[in-house]
Amino acid sequence: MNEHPTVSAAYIDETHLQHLEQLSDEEFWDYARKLAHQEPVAAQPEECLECTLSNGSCLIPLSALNEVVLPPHRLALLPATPEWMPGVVAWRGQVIAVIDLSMYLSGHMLDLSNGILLIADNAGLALGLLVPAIGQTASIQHNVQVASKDPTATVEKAEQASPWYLPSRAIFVKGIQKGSLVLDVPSLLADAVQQIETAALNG
Amino acid sequence: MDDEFNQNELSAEDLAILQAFDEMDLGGWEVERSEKGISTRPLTDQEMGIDFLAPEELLAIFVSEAGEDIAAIRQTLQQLEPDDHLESARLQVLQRTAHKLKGSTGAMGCTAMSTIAHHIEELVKLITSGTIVPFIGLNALVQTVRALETTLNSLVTSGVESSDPLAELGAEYKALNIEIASGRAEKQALSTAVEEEQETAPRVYAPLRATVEAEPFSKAPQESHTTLHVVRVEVDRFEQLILHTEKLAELSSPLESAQAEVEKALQELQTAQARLRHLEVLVSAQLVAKASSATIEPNGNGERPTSSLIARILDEARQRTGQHYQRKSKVATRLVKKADSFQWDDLEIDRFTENDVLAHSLGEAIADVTTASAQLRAAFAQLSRITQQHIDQATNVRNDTLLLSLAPISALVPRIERAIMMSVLAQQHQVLFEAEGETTEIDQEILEKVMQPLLQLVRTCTAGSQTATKTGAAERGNATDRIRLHVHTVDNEVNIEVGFSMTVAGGALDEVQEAIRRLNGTIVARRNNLGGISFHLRLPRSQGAIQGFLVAVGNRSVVVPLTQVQRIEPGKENRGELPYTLNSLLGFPMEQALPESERAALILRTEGSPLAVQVDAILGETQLVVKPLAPHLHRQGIIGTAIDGRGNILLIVDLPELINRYEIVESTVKVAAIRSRGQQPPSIVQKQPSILVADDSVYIRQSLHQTLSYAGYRVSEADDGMKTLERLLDYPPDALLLDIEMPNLNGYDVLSMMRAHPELAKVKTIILTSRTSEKHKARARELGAHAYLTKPCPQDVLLETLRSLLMN
Repeated sequence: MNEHPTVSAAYIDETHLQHLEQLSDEEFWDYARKLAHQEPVAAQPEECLECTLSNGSCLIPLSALNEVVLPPHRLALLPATPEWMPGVVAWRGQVIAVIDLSMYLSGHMLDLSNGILLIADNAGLALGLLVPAIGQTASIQHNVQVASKDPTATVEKAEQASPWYLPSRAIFVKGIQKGSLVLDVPSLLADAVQQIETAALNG
Repeated sequence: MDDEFNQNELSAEDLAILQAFDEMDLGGWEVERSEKGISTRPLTDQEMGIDFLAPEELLAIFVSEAGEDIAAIRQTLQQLEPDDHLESARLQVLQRTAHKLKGSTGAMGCTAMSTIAHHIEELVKLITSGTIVPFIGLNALVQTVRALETTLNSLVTSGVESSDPLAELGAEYKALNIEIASGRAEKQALSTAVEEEQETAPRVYAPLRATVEAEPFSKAPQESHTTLHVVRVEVDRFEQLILHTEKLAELSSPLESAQAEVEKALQELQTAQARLRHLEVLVSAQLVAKASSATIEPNGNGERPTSSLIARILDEARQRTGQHYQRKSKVATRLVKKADSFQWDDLEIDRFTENDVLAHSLGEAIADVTTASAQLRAAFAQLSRITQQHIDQATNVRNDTLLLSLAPISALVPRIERAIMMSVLAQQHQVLFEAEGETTEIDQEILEKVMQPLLQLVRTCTAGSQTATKTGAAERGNATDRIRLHVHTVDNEVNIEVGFSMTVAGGALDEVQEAIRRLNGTIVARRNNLGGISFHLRLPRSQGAIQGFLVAVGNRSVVVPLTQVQRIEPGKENRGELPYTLNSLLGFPMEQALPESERAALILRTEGSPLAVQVDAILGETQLVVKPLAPHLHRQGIIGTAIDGRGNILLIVDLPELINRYEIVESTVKVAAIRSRGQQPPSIVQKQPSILVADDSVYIRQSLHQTLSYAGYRVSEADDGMKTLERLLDYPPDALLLDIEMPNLNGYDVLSMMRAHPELAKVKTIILTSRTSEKHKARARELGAHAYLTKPCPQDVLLETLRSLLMN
């Protein structure tokens, strides 16, 4: 039996139609049955929270967040920490590190006394992301194969926009949607944890 | 630019110093040979008042010491039975003695003897790792010692060591099919492999819980016949109970805090109430005044409506009907009644103006508020009583739950006895073990965690049979050596003393200290009345709670454990030496602080000179539940955190650790500043710096003494770890030259103990050892040593390193 193209129905074009015409009835129905049982190729759109930062904004997947905590925050300083870590905070009875997300990404410091604290989770380890403000939630679509016709709803390549973030943070930017950075939160948190640990050794 | 550093402006001396620092690499630590040319003016013998030994005298000391070491090795070899398994404790003694010999022969320039001594170390490693069978290994060791003796004899008879015995030894090894790693890389690889193997070898010990269950513990010796009734509880459930009681106890702070807030609100209510009353009086007075002025008739007929409302109605009626309303004058009555114009009478309502009505309502409202306030205060008092009862009960439940997890330290005794019985020491001498206060109870978890370190301490201390023979029972003319375990409690702490009457092998603290520190405990060594040394462990009685001083640092609060503080000095006290400030120790940004004279100081518990740490204020004493930090948040000098009633995180600090960290960082910063600015270092000739030389080899000590004295330093000596520590505490030197292999606390032990004494944080420590592996360097660095030199060390390197460090 011929190997059929696996493109989604949304992309049936003339070539594909010609291919279908050449199939026997049996092959055609086999193919149809196969398509009918096929799992949808398109990934589910991911709900993200828009956060306003010092020089721009970013999108953080809601799946990576546990809670949004409003100010005031009772931060406590810890010795020998990176400059983007304003301290630690008590959350649900545990002591967690807080990351100033603006400073981590851009190196610019902001007054975050009225910032919003997003509690993110990385492999069971909670961390706080302090951002100046949060906006609406937005859906992002990662799968370009079944991307919506609206190009603004897809994740653009990060290189297309002039980056306001530090070059070393580029690896944590999955893309840009409507000017907002789509962050790879697990990688970002893992890096932050490692840097916090290293800072203790460097004094 | 003025600030720009121009290397050309530096003198040759400055360049030499900077190069020495570059080569020393305090970050990476490798100290290599540096350029010659020591600028310190050598003092004459007369100036120093030192009697230098002639070379032949030094040689005599060396030969005598080497002879003793070889005799000790031979004696230990004779005690080894060629069984299937050679006793590891005796092998360790062999290895240590050979290591010492390697160091002293290397320093003397006797390369053949040094190599042979190294072969003994390697052979022991091969036997221990099972690479060669014990019988063959023993045979090889005997041959090796013979070669060592022959080489020493050649040195004594001809003044030059012969290399023939070493060559013959190579042939012997070949015949026995033994390969000794000789290259440095090979040596290190082998050494690391063996050490790793030793480290990773599984050590099987019965868990404490099993022991406790198998042997129901008794409450006290006199009650030993009564077995306690024990209820078996699943560990998970028990831990859940502990967790819940912990949360219950944690609620006390928020409750107290909320109570304080309500109290504050009540006070504000009372203030508002008082203001209202005052207002009421003012309004009443105003009304009375108005009433008085109203006696002047406004419309000419002596009458006026008493109320603006009534007046309005009358005006409207007049406009409609054109008639004036005539009413009875009540002015006279009103004047009579002006004093009690607010005595309300419903039947006479028309007598009162609208203002009177409002004033009356105000009075009623105030009365209502007063009643409500009184009821609220009564209810609050009742709530406070109940809250206090709840907090007391929560504390009781918490304490009762913690009691469930306590076990007597007597559970340790049989295992310690067994460890002593199995020791080399017990096989050579009669050993008397005494335990006192072993019924003292401690958290099972702590007991479980402290068991291995304690047993390790006992094993290590009783492993060195040679040294024990020298200064222990034999020296006192007594056939019995004594080991004691004394336990007692102080507040919420348990003090455990493990004491020995004899000299103990070094390295006892090496493995123990970290485990004790993890339990928020401390360990110190002191000389005891048995003639040996005692290790004093201080451990919290139960995990989870800590008592401490709540102190202010800027606008933050931190907790200092009570156990670290000897006393508090108020701000006005005049302190001699400039104290540390807690803000600087923590590395927090400087905030507007109180003048130094107004800041209180915590005087730390030290055995040497007192040490003060200034804080902005002492806020009080507190007992809090310790929350351990996640691994990535661990910081040197921070024991853990606690959360207060308002959700604030309080850091629990370890002041001695913070001081150590601070001194090391400061030292590095100063060196960096000299590098970057080309700063002229202060001349060290102005004052004679003091150096303490700690080495168990007489020859090495004499040799170093001579070198350092000639270079202008004041030199003192110590021949074991305990003496080194005592000397450090009595007369803290500027620098310490420290050997690693020593009896009665080795070099690592001394470094560990120095960390527990913040008053020694300024002593620059240079390790001078024949151990060359990176592992040892890393360990020394971790423990706070400033530099690491290997024996034999060229004089110029040693002096340059000392000079560089002392510039700080």
